[in-house]
Amino acid sequence: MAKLKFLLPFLAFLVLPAFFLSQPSDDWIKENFVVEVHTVDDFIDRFNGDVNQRVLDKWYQLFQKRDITRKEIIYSLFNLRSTEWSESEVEAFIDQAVDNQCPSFLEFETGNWYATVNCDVLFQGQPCTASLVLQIRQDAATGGSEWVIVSMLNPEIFADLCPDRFPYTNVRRKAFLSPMSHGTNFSALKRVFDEKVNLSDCMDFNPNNSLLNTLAWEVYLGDFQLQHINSIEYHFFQVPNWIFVIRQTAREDFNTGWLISELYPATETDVRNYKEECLNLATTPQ
Amino acid sequence: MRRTIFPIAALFLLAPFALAAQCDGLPPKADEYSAQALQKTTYLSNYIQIICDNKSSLLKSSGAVDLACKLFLDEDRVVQVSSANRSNISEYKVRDYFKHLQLLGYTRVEIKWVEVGYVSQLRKGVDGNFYGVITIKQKFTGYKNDQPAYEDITEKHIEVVLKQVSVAQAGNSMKCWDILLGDINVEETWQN
Repeated sequence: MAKLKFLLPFLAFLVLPAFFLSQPSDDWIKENFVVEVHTVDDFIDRFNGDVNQRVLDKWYQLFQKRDITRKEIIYSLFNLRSTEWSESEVEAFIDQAVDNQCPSFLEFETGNWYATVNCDVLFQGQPCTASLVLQIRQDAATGGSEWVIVSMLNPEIFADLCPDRFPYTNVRRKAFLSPMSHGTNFSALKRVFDEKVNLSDCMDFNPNNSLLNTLAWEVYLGDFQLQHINSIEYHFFQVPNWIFVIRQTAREDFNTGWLISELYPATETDVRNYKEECLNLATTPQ
Repeated sequence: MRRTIFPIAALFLLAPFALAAQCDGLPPKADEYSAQALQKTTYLSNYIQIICDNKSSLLKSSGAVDLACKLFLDEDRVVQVSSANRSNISEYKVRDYFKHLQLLGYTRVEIKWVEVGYVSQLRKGVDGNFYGVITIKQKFTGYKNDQPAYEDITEKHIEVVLKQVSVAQAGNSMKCWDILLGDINVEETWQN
């Protein structure tokens, strides 16, 4: 941790009340805004060591350090206010990510990461919450990509799963979630839910997935309506032997935006169990 | 009347010139796309200033709503507004959002750019369009009788869509990329 001393000013800034009672100055807004991790794309870029020059310039102004290493950049992607970290685990994780022999980088299109979108919904007129699990899927034919719903948490919402296959899947494809939907906090989801019959176009529709089949039916019949999105998390499995979760930490300081909020060392079995238990994904042993 | 319509029309008529350099069939490079996307968001801010200003005539204000809607991929795009001080999230289709702004009753509004935060790379969607997101911070001040009545600072995440369109030029049909706005997520981070 001593090697990461340069980041101590981050911690100092954390205790500064950002906006006292008066109007924040434009300079403060700019500084804070430039350093913020704005989207998951920004997170991935920074994790891979690709930091925007304006952010580097701002760090230089703040910390008087020009040659910031990838190790230090990854450290800055942790929620530094969390008290749940084991410093040794964080160090081990970062050391593995920046390992000279076999460094780990994050890829947007590989698919081994997921978004969980927690929503307020109305099911048969009753308000409740549900979390949708989405993944980036690439289409080999067009080379384009899209977000697709791959699972849903809270299956207990449905008393029974519908055995009849939803018949309108991909008949005449009309809807899709753009690969940048996450950038606007998946506001497009509401639109595709409102289109009812087309929602299944945005699902990774597997005939054996009776949960998604039931969801498609319930939305089509008007029994399941998405009200609004409460929160979003991203679960990454791209650093071998580790699972981490990023969440948006909105606050007016220099450790803000989409930051690592949970970190777990994980064997292959742990990853499989996590996907089954926390993301409700059916996995097959490798 | 001619004088009031001209600035809006001029603003809109200038927009296609931004496309002239990208009719080679290839999507624009990141710096070109970001400059043009930011230009579109500037047009949007200008239209919003006209829409919110209750000194604007009904014709001018309605014209600005129509032109602002044309900046978007279609009118089904949504503007999602969340606030630091309120737990509820409001969501409007673009035309409804502009109509909502029209009803705010300000005599004048100022929209000041504070900073551009992030311009993502472009990603190809399964529909063949390219998609990106830009994040900007803006300060909004609404005046009533020349006194600031409301101020906020919002962070806007704007989806940008590059759509291929055919443009006829000198008898030839050329494939150009038009830059349009998609969904917008507005997070209010400070309010007075």
